[in-house]
Formats: sequence, structure tokens, C-alpha cells
Amino acid sequence: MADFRPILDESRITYIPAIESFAMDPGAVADIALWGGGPTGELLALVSLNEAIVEAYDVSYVTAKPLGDNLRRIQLTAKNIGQTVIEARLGVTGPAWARAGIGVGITPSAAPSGHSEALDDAIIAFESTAANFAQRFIRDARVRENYVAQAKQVSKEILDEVNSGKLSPEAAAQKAVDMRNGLLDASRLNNSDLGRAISEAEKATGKTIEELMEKYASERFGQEFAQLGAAEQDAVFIEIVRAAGRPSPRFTKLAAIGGKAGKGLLVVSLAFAAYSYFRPSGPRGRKTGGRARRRVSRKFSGRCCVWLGLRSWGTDLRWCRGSCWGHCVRSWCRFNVRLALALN
Amino acid sequence: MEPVEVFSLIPTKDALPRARLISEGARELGVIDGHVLEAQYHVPSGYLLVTSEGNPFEEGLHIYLLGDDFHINDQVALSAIYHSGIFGDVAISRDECFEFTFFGNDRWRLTIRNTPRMHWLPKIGSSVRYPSGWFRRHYLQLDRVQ
Repeated sequence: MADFRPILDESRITYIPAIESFAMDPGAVADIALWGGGPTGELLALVSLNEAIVEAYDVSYVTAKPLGDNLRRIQLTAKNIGQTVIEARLGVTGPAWARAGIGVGITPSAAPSGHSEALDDAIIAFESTAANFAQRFIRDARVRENYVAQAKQVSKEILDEVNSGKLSPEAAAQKAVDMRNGLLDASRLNNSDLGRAISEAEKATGKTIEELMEKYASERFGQEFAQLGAAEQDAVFIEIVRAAGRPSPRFTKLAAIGGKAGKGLLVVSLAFAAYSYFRPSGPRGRKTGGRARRRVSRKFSGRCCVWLGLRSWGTDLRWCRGSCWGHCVRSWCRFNVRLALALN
Repeated sequence: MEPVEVFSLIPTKDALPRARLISEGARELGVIDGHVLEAQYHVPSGYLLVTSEGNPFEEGLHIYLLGDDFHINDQVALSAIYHSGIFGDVAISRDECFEFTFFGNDRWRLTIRNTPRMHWLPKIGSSVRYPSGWFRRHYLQLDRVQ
């Protein structure tokens, strides 16, 4: 017997006992323990099924801190975001005696499979990764939608206040700058962890009104702001308020594409989940049992789901409602229910 | 590297901030990214153009290397989502190199290579993009120096 287990004082990795998996951050290096050996005490060989995601090394003999009897210290290096499995095998190509799922930058949603079929592992890894990415993309797209709407609304409201004489152009520009910088900060914070990692690639320093005054004075009038007349200065202030209502269309488009891809990914991951579940002998060891024809029907269902999911990758699912796609989905569901009833 | 006034931009009405590039003599050279022409220089290998999208609260900077025949030889872009930016504080150090600030307390160095260098893979999440694509040779190299 053998199993992978956490080390008590190791905080760089999280153990999820329910699914015998670990989660760690990209770039992290963390230690776990491997307990046990082969049936007659053989030393097990350590294998990471995807070394591009996690590298695993036995460091029992190069660290000064032994873990205890029959416990080996395994050092994991998280290389890239994704999910994979580490195994302790009876020989490098032999059967797995212990296995654990490792999620890097994501939290594994399923236990590693009971056997080493590459396809099963790939399906589990993909299903979990797809669902994780999907929820991030969808969330980030919503944050972006909100940001764009609020930026436009803030700018419009402030301009209305200037036009009605409630605010001076200078006060309006200051208000627009403050609100827009606040919106940028809020959007970065509301993003998913993945979105935040991207949006915090650079140290954010919101522009001050002075910087913007000089920019627009130079751009519009080719002079320093202090040299401008009162009317020209007001024009600069109004230009700042207008700029506050212009989010980058490039990023808005990217976020929208990400949102659509996220919805597609979600469907694909659900489809893979259904497919894995209804397999005659699923990778999680679930036996569906029943007659062969029922299994065929279920396999067919799963594959249809996969196909539908892939097809919807570039399709906004809202469009499915009331469209021919909706009709196809409904027809397919009805057909499958009838077939299942008939076969039973 | 010396500043020139050879080019001008006429913004298009696309959803994305793009503009028609016009050279001296009102010759249209094509459509490029950006609405505002921030700077233009004559360099040994041709011309260097710096354009911005005109959204200082979420700015995008585009740098183009044009040959003497005004053909675009390379392009590099600098932008980050939810980040404001203003192109400024330009310091020309050599014929093929200049530095500038953009996001805030940062400093960037643009180098024009004599021989192009291959960029094998895209850097996901990086603020520096090569819109012409990865796995290609590029003359322009943009590095953060501070």
C-alpha cells in the first residue's frame, strides 16, 4: 500500500482529501509526502503525467529533514496552470500504487482516475480545467460589461451636470477623473484571479487631472495648459470628461470573446462530465451497469453533448433560445428520452 | 533618430481605434492602429511612428517601423486592461533606441534591431504584444527598464 499525503508544516500547497488531490499556485515549489511502498516493500518510481504542469522529485535523501519511517519527501514544482496526476509506480512503466491529482492555479474538481489510461486523465483534466477557465472568463466578461456601462454613464451624467450649470468644467473634470480611476480599481478587484493576474501585470497608477490637462492642452492646442485662455481650458476639461466615458473598445471586444468562449467551455465541460459519467466503466471507477444498448444510448448522448458544446464555442448561448439550435436541442432531448424509455 | 513631421492620421469610423496613415503629399499608406499620432522619427532604417488610441484612462500604444518606401516592416503594441497610460518623458539615447514612460512610474526602452529576432511564443498576460503575430522575426524590441 502507498499514498500521497500532506506535510503538516507545508503551507505552499493545499490538500483536498475528498478527492485525493492537491492545489498549488503557479510557480510554487512545495513538498508532500509519499507513504509506503510496493507489495513487498519495493521502492516506488515517481512519475508526473504532465511535467509541463508539475515536476515531481524525490528529495528524501537531499534534505536534512526526514519525515519519518516509510515516508519520502516529494518536491513538486508548479510550472504552468492546469491539472495533472502524479503516480508512484511499481517500476517506471509499471502499475500505479498511489496517485494524486495536482491542480496548478486551479482547484481540482475530481479525484484522479483509478487507472492510468491517458484518455481518462485527459478528460478529467480537461473537464476540470475547462470549468475553471469558463467561470473565470464569464465573470471577467460581466465585470467588463459593468465597467463599460458605468464609465459611459458617469461621463454622460457629469456632462449633463455641466450643461445644466450645476458643475463647472474644472470640477466636472476632477469628478470624472476620480470616478473613472475608482472604476478602474474596482474592475481590477472584481475580476477573477486569472483576470486580476492579467490586469495587474503593470503597477496601476491612475492618471491625475494635471497629467490629463497637459496631455489634452498639448494635443488640442499645442501649448501648455497654463498658457491657454479660459475658453480653451474649459475645452480641455470637457475633453477629459468625455475621455472618461471611453473605455478601450479593444479590451471590451476581447472580454466579450472571452465571455463567449467561457460559455462554450462550460457546455463542453458539462458534456465531458456527462460523457465520463455515462461511460460503461468511468474513469472514476463508477460502474453504470445495465444493458449494452442502454450504454450505447448514453454514450451517444454524451458525444452529442460534446458536439453541441464544441459547436457553441463561438456561439452566444442566448441566441440558442428560440432559434433553430433551440429546436435541435429540444428535439434531441425528446428523442433521447423516448429512446431510453423504449430500451428500458 | 530625429523627430520629423512627415505623417498624419485621419481616424476611421471603425469600432476599434484605427486611422488612415497619410504621408507628405497626401498619399494614403493604409490603415493602422491608433487615433493620435504621438511621435514620429526618422531612423537609419526608415521611420518610426508612435500612435495612441486616445483613451488615456485605458490607453493603448502602437509603435510602427516603416521602411524608406513607407512599407510597414514591424509593429509592437503596449497596453494593459484597466490601466491608464500617457506616452511621455521621451529620451532618445541612440540612433536605434529611445526610452519613454507610459503607465506611471514605469520606463520602457524601444530598440530597433539591425537584424530581426524570432519571437517563438506569445507571452500571455504581457502588456507588450506583437500584433503581426508570434513565431515571426521582429525588428522592434520593447523592454521594461524600470
